[in-house]
Amino acid sequence: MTSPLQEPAEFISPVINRVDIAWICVATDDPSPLHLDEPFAKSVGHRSVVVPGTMLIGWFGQYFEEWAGEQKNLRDWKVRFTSPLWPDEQLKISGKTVGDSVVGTDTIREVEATAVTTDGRAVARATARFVVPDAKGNGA
Amino acid sequence: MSASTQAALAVVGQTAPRFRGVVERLRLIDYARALRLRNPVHFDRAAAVAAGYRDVLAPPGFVISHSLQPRSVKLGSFGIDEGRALAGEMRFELFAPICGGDELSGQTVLVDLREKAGKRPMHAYALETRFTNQAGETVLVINETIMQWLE
Repeated sequence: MTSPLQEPAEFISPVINRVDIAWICVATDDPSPLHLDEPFAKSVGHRSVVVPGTMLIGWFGQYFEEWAGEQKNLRDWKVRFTSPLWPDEQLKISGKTVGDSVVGTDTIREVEATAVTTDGRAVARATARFVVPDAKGNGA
Repeated sequence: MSASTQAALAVVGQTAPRFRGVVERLRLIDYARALRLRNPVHFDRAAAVAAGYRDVLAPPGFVISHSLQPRSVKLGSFGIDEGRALAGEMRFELFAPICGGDELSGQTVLVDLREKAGKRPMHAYALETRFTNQAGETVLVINETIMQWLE
């Protein structure tokens, strides 16, 4: 587990396969044919089914949760999608600290991260703010 | 401002129907497995309880604005055509943990609507969805932007 005081190592996702897409659609109750039906996705102009944005959100969520040490330290975070993601692609998420500020008795760290495919295409950007735990590990 | 924007502005401030639903443990586990999440508090109830949670802990991002309401109902409430809608940005503000078995209720409100100029003009709908748990605590607020081409 990464210390919340360190920038985490780059996260590399599994290669996104169609079984995982189906699982995530079931888990999030998202039956959109855009994610599951190749002929439909092609009929509306896509090269294949579109990987649900919920997968990127989930990996960004994990990335920020680990960076914050615990979920309770995470105050807020946001994701902006910039390009579709396709089956058989793989993501890398990396981030950096933007800065710290003091709010009341808490030190709030602002961080940013980007998700790119392994061939270098940017697909999403995200930012987060979390409480930096004190020396005893006490956070929010 | 186009006539279609003037017409669409009439729905700013309106709400989608209230929703209520249970966060199912098995869906949380399926989600964590599909993403191969690493922290066992998200898929192993014993680990979650040992860490002080009442059940498996929802990962950040598991609950989204249409988790407990059909996306078509949410978007349709504001005249957004699901087939032409694109997700822009989604912001999560966390207030308390969400665990398997929690019963959440909430509502989505259209807080703003803007016309974006460009080669293909579009409407940017700003939606806010607040979630409250069975104890009456606000646990999560999601602000999102939905884009819709005007043509």
